[in-house]
Amino acid sequence: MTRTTNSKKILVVFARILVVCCLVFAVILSGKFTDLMSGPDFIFVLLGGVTLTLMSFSFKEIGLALKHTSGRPDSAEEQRKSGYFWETAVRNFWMMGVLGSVISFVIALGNSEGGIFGIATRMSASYLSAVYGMIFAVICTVPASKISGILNRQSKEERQNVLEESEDINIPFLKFETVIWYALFIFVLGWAIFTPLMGMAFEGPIKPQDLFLHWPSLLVVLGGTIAITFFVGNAAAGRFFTVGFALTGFLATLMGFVQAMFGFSSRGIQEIAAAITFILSSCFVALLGMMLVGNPLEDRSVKAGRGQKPLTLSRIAWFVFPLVVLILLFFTFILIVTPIQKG
Amino acid sequence: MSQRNRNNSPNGPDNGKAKGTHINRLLKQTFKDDLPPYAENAMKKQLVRFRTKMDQAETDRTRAESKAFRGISYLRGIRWVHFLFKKEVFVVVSLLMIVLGGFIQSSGSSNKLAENLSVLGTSVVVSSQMSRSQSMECSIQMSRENEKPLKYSIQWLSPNLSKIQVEESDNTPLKTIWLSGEDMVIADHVADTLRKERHLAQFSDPMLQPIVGYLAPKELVERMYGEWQLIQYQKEECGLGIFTVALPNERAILEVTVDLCTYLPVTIKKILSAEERDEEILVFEVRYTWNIRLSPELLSPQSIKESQKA
Repeated sequence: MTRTTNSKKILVVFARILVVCCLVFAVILSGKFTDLMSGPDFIFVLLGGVTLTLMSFSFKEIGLALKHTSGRPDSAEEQRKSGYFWETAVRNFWMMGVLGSVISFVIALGNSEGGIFGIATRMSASYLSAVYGMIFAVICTVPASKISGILNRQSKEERQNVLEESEDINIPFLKFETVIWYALFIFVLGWAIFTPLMGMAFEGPIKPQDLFLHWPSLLVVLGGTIAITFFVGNAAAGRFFTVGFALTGFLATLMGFVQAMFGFSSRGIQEIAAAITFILSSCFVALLGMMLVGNPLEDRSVKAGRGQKPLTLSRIAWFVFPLVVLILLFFTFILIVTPIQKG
Repeated sequence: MSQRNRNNSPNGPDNGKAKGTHINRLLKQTFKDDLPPYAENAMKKQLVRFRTKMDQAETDRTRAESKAFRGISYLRGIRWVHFLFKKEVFVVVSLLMIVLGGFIQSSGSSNKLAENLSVLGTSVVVSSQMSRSQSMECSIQMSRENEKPLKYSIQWLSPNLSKIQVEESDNTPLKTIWLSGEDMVIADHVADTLRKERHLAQFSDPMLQPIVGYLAPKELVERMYGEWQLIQYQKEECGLGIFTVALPNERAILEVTVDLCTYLPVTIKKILSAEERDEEILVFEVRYTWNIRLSPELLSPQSIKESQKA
């Protein structure tokens, strides 16, 4: 009886997904939103988000989370884990979207094909990744909030039992499958960076490290993160890396903006350009650090039971820092396309 | 002495002992050991878990240390290896990294992205300055294969009248083109007539064809926005900046020298890269003289008379 009910519920979920897919395809075929379509960006966000999630969760845990979403009853502890899975999915897609935007933005600036108009058009199109990331995040929010609702309905006593009975699980630091997902993520990242830069420029292919590797921002963000993590003193668990990357990234972008302001007052275009490079590079390094180091460590900590929930500061960093980056990209766009008035 | 004082104190050691017992009794009465069994069990569990965790942490630490040094046992005796892994060293290194990063950034380090941004920023300012109602005159020197170079001088004479003089490099006149009528003005000094520059593209004179896109500000702006591929920007010491742009369809590059006071182009050089001969050929060089625009009223005969009277 229960199995039949579960199958029905799963069927209903699939039917809903099918309807949504049909609607999306209808919109695509109508051709009215061609400006909002970018296949590579879509693939980058989707693949990247999935890979990031797989870095932290096994297939078994994902399967269980899907079952819980379709309404399968289970213990509060398992439900909590599934809720956390969906929360990380939301986070990963959102961060991946913003990272995609930063990458596209930098590549748009690196490729001067089509003159100023071409660059400005590509810079505007770079926001599409963030849009896709947001769409995927919203989709994942639905099961996350559903499971959170189920948990809220459970009695206080049951939740208390979960807190008392939860024990530390020893999770190995690097599993073989985790290494594979890391490799796949780096492949997706490399594909997104290398492909657009290959042999398109008149003056020859641009080296990605020339665009993305800016030593000052790398030193400031990495140094700042290490300092914060060690000062906090929870370095072993690695839980503060996420917050550290976000804080130093934010600090570095502020430093960049101060330099840009000085550039404006002295009307030095080169100084403004150096400041913008610093801002973009800092955002890139901080986001990548959060995704590759901070988030997996945080997830591992939460799953191991060292803390029942991720740090509130981490949660803020997951969702606020990418938003700040997106706003900064917008301001950078305005800075670039607005001429400094002379005379 | 103190011992004796203590023994002779009004409270005495026995009194102190009694007071301690009293306090203990009071504490036991206040904090009764009457926890419900489930809470007591939970507490016991927590205590066991805490102890296990502490033991585990200690074992892990020892194991990690032994693992780290197993392969490099010969380093055990070296003091500075242990020193390197100290927390304080990490903190100092991280602070040094921040300072170094800030120093490199403030010392004006540059990379490809910053260069591209500089070119883009400069070209945006140049195009904005050109489209802000400027007019100009220009002279052009164009090289020809197996022939003498040509010189063009474009002069503005009056509203609706411009003169293009074409001569060879030894000043032998070849042709004079008069551009008159409202639709034929290249770039004049009077406001509101600049829009007619668009008609420039209609010139069919073969002598004007190679340079037709470089004679009017609006044409330059349009090309800068849509066609020119920005490559490099270089700031010169004498108040000039040079930015290089590519024309991918023509396999040529343009060197645009900009006056950094006005951000208007002073010269544009078109250079063709001949790969087979491994040399660069200067196709033409345009020199611009930018003028301040005058209002139409100033050019009417009546205003000229008035100014003469004054």
